[in-house]
Amino acid sequence: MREFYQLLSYEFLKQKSSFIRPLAFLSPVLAGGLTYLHLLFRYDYLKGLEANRALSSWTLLTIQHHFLWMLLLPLTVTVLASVIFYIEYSSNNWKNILSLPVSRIKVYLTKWSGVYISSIFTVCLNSVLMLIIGYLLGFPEPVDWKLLLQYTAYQLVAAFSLVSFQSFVSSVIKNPNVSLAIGFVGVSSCLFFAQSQKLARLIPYAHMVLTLPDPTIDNAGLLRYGIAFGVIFLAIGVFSFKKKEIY
Amino acid sequence: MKDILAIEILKLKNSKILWITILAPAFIVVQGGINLIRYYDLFTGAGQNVWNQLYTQSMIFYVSILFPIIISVIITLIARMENLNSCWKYYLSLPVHRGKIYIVKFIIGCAIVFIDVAAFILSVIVVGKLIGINGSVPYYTILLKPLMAYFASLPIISIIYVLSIRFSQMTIPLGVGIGLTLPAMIVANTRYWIIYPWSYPILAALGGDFDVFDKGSVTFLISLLLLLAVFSLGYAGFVKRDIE
Repeated sequence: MREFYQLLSYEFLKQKSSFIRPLAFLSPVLAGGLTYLHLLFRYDYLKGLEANRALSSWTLLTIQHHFLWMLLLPLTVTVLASVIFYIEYSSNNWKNILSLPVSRIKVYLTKWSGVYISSIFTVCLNSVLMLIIGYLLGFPEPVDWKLLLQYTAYQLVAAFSLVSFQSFVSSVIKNPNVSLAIGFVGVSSCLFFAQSQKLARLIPYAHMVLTLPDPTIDNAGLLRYGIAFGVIFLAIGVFSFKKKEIY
Repeated sequence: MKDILAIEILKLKNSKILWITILAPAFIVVQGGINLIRYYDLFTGAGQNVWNQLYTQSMIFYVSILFPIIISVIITLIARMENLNSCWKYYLSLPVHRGKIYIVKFIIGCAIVFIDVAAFILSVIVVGKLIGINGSVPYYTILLKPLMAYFASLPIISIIYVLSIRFSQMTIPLGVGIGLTLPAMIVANTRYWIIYPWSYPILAALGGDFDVFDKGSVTFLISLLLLLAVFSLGYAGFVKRDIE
């Protein structure tokens, strides 16, 4: 376990010189800023719409923010996964790491953890920013903690499956632009996938769409399939990394 | 110039860039076709042109999300060849005119983005034929609008190009590309679209037909001016760049 923590601390050390941290930080700031401006100018109009009249301010905020965030979060995760794995490819470092007496499983889990921890940070920061937006806009209702915590938890599950999938793709494909393109095409198609209940459950890119806590959205499916696919792709990633040839 | 062009093309040979360029729009169009079949009655119930519906279904997500992001991927990949292992210092120490290198790389980037748009157009026609859409193909919409979107995207290409050449870390141009793509969907519907180049392709591809695209001539003029300004700035910086 100590070896794993050491690897993880090296991993974060490597991230220091890259643009990974600013990316994980700026992504929710951008989404939060846009949602804030959107609601600042259009709150009364949106609240006046027939479909929104019964909604609380916090629910309205979550719905409006979700339209942007369900695209930006998976895009961010895709870039994080590609860049974190690319660090080793770019400096031809895989052969150095894998020739050391460290378990390959731990090396892969370290990389995976690096991506997932950055994603957790992004998701949590996004939730904090949503709270701040609510305060800044002076919502009349008290904070809907249940809604915000549910939304955060669902995002963490959706990120789990996507991080596992993108980490696997990024570890297999040497060219980061290819793994990025796969991710970007997947994210661009996520709304198409989400229109079919079956596809939405089976394709990790669509899991983000299912994170909005709403009775009409298949949140239960997200929890079941998000966790299952996260574990499956993590196992596939570990297995393929163990067999990876380094030259 | 010819030699540089040949070498740059050779460098991209094993980069899989053409696969990305062709398959990405094709995948989106296939999704658009499947969506059209799924909601056929909804989309065509009021007598709408089926070809136009296929175009719209495919174009919405292509031009709003995938196209500007794919531009970032293509351009960063072109710059990455040199950014990787500090190849710039070898390249720039050769007796080759720096300006020519800069221009050739940009032309190749634009050409690959053009292939991406051409792949989109071709995919719409092929998918339309495959799902058995009757009637003549509205080439005016299917050909012209994506080409307009391409011309409107030239400032985006130049901005990402300058960033990719300037910064060796690919996360910076990619992050900027992605970060500025998503707000474009919001900005395109406001009067501030004019100051936001990422909204130009959306307006060109989805903002009505060529005549209704009343911002049309202005947009293309701004696109051209912005392209020239950004490209010239990048060119001047590149020519004077230190070899590190």
